[in-house]
Amino acid sequence: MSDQLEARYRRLLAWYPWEHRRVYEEEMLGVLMAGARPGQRYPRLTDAANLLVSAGGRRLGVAVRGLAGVEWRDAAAVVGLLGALLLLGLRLHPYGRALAVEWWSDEEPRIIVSGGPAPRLAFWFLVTAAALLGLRRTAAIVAWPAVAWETALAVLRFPSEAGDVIGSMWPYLLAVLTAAALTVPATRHRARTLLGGRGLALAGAGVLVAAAAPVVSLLIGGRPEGGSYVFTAGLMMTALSACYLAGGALVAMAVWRLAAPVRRRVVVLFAPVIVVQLVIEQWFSGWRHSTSAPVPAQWAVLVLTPALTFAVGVAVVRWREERERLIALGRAADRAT
Amino acid sequence: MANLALGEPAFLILTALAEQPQHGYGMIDDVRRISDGRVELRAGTLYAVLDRLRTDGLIEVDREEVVSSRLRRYYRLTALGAERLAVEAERLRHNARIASARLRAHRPAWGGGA
Repeated sequence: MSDQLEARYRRLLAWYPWEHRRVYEEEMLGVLMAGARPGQRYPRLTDAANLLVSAGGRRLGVAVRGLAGVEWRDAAAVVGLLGALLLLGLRLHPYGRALAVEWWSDEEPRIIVSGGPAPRLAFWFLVTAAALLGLRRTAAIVAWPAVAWETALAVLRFPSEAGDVIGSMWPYLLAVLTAAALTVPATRHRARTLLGGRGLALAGAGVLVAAAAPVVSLLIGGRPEGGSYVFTAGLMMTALSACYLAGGALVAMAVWRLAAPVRRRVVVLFAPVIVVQLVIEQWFSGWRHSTSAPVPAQWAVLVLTPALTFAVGVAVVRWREERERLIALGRAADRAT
Repeated sequence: MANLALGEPAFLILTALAEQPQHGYGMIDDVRRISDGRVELRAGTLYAVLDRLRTDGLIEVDREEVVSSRLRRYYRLTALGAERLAVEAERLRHNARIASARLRAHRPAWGGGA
């Protein structure tokens, strides 16, 4: 009977992180068994609840301390720089499209300057320049007003264009992520050091390829016919997708070159942005063409998805690295025998 | 850290250890006695507090024994822990004195308590 009770207490104690169990598990088990009534087979509800709440608190403490580790700070440095580059490329996009259209229409090319795109481009140009020059604090100081500007534009557009605003949520999330990542302390040029010259070149090339996608798609999809131009939509879309894929692949190659602990964390930090957009494409595509505001359940999905994605990512990284540590310990012990 | 008040469980655990080094179950029993049955420490709470007190240097491991095939670890108060307990006891005494005095002054019929 006491074996059964002990086994049940051990299952409860298993909820504690290994760092705690390594030091206190046997001792806690002794205390729990000493407090058991004769013939008791199940833990008291109050004891079980106390252990689970305590274990949850310990896990949260370990996770929060873990997020302050050097690998997370390195990942934040890389995400800050890459995020700024991606947002700069994104804000160059409308200008590339406008130039391409005006070029094809044989008019004098002119840059369209309007209230929305121009300040965004200026903000992210400054953030990217500061980040590339190793001026992280300056980049962060400019990035937060850029986020405020994006927020203001979204709030102004929301009443009449809720579907579009939600549909283009990923650049806004990326902007918040970039500003937050740039706010994390890091030594000067840390991101450039981690990425290396080649990694930085790959990331820059990826952003340029994606930003040039409208021009490339018009070049490939358009042909002169009878004094004007004809555009084949299918070819243009294929060219556009190919450019985005190629750009994305180049950025992914830059990330792949990072050391594994930093690379994993960079993926975890970018994951909420990607997952939210996938969720919107899958489950909000019908609603996007309606004129109604999101219902509370939809807001809950939009808010919880990035938080949950990040939490799951952190847990997976922790599990993976703990597993690698234990495997390495086992190999070392095996070699020593 | 020295300026932050100790929570009641931490205060009672330090009080228990002020008498003699004790193991976990002994502390649970002693805290129940000190609080006249009012505070029932559970293992989860006890070890969360013990870990924090160890990290802060207020207690340390005195010795370990194996009793009925189970590890039993005794803890003792450090000099820093004794000092911290004394400061906290004085703070609580001060607060209690003021509370009693005000109750006597403003509610004479209640007798103010002690």
